[in-house]
Amino acid sequence: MGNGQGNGQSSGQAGQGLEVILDPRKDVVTSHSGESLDILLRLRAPVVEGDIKRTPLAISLVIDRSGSMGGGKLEEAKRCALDLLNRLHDEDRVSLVVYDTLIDVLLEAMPVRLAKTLMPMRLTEIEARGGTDLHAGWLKGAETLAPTAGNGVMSRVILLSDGQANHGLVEIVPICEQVRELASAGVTTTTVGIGMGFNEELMTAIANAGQGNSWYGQRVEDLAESFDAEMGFLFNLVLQDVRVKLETPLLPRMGQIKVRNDYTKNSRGQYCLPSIAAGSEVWMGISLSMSEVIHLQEAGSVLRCVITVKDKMGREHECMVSLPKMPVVTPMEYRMAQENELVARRFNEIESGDIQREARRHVQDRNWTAVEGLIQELEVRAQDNPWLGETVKYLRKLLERRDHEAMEKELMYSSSKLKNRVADMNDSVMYCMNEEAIKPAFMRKKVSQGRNSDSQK
Amino acid sequence: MGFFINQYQGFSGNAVDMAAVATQCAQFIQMPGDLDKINERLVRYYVTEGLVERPKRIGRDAEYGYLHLLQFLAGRFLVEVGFPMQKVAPYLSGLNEAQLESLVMNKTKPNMAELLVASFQNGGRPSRQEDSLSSPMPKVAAMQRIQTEALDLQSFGARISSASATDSTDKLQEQFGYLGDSIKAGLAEVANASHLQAKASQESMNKMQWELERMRKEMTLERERWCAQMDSERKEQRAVLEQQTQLNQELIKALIEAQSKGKQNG
Repeated sequence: MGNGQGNGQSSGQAGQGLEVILDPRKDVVTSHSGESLDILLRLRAPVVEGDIKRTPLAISLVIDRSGSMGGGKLEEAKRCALDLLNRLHDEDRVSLVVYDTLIDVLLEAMPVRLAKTLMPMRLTEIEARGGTDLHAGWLKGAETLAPTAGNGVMSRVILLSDGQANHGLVEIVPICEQVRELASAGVTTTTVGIGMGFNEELMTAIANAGQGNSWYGQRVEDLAESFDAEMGFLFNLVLQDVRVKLETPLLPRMGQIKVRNDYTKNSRGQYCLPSIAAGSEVWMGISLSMSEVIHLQEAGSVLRCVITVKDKMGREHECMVSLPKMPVVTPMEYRMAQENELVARRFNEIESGDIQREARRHVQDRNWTAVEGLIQELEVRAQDNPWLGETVKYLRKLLERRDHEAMEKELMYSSSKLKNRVADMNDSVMYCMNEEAIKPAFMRKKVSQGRNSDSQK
Repeated sequence: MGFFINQYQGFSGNAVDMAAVATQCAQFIQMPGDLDKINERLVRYYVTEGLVERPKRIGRDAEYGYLHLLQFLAGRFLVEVGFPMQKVAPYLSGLNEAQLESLVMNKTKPNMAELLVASFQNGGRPSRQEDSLSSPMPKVAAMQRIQTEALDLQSFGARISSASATDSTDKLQEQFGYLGDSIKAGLAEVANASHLQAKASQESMNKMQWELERMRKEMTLERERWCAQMDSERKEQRAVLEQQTQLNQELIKALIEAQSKGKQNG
């Protein structure tokens, strides 16, 4: 536990080598500028040399077997399931659930060494048929993991779907409420969408509420990389149940403090961040009212972040980091003050993510003129960010083709990535596709979220 | 000799009887928490909250049985170990007699995830709490009870006068105490009913919101279909126009050729 304070930057350390860094966009503040004070909180887990024992996993594979999964998709899903099984340790646990309008548990949660014999046989029984009761499928998967949830085990439902939920509970709000509650109780959820027919809004919302990841593949051959990314992430997990509580006299309801990512808040008022894998960082963009900060900082720290994490053994660690008092300068001096490149870049990405969401709404309305305007705005923002630049180029291609299906999905997943991604610890402004391809799949900055790394160009 | 809960299988009685038996059982199985708090009010409260099923009504009396006793003890145990009441209720509703017996005797508490999964799975069926909400006006019923039982001024006056006639201060105090208790119980019931009603309105609002969301989605899909149809029609029109232009061009070419041939022949 630590509570470091420095000028402009604060950092702390929790158990298991968690590094906590709090950086403002600039080291100074000014009154009457009308700007917000942007702060980046980063939680990093450096790679530890030597033999690392990873967190035991309990995974429930929940596979859509509705009619639309017929053909190559279901076969590829089966192949990915077997690949996943072969990569798990013998002590991990796995279950297999398939759903259409009916739910079948093909494999109750069991140690992987047993599942290796049974799962291949069970997978051959699956045939595509019927509708999509996505919620019931997910809930059954969660039920198989519930008895072992917590206790230092990472329990994860991996929900695969290619279609719209059209049976049982289909509304986003109540589904996500249940997913969120179960994630708080230790059963997290990752979603994998395949094809162009699934509900990307529902799938990303579930993953966000479930403290998992959301992946998607446009084509059958893109599915394997989604599973690879998820597996890579789970195998490198170091810290889970990452919670951040913001202690501040600023009033969120008055817009004096805003968390710019999509992280959900639990009943204790803590923000739930993604788990942290070795060599990666999770981060949070916070905007504060600069005038209020100047007004209140005389009385003490304006912002204190209390971070709690659980290590591989399920032990809880706490760490605090405070925003130091910042010198007040004139507006001219403020303009001249140097910007922290990373903070500015991440906030630019967050704002670009917001623009992409707005563009998606216009794509849904087929208001191409408005989409064109927003893409132009993104192009301006992407001038100093090569990754963003490549992403926007791809979006423009889709716009020129008036490919609304691909564009809606791409905009949704791209904005989600921009706002909530698990970042490489050495995340830099430089961008090279070939270099990205050798990084673990879960940390790759992709141009097209729905395509595998070989098809990025 | 050990304690077995199923020796009460034939139990039948009102809330007071059940509270007494539940206290005994709780003592035997060393249930956590303050056992003095187990009383008929707590029994009724658990019924209102949906932890215990509604009792049978025999005239104005409520009759509880063995299942109610098990639900009460299991609910008490889970609430005492820290589970939220609104999640315990749907969880218990999914357990049968044998499972409840095992929970009470072995004190094998589920973890939070199990409790949540069970409560989501049982969420579909109308909960007992909803049953109580479906009765037209619980608030009115409670008010009537206050009126009839607590504020029956005539009978209260008679009681006071009989007490003062005997010059017994104790009796007078007892009557005031009784009146106070009745009013308190009635008001608590009113507050409870209002809370339930507010919850019910909230739920119905949520349902309406979901319904609207669903309709919006359907309309979006419909619009998408329509847009796709328009796109394809536009494409077809364009193709027809292109064909027509091509034909016109060919026709003009043929005419020019014919004219030039005519000139040559001429």
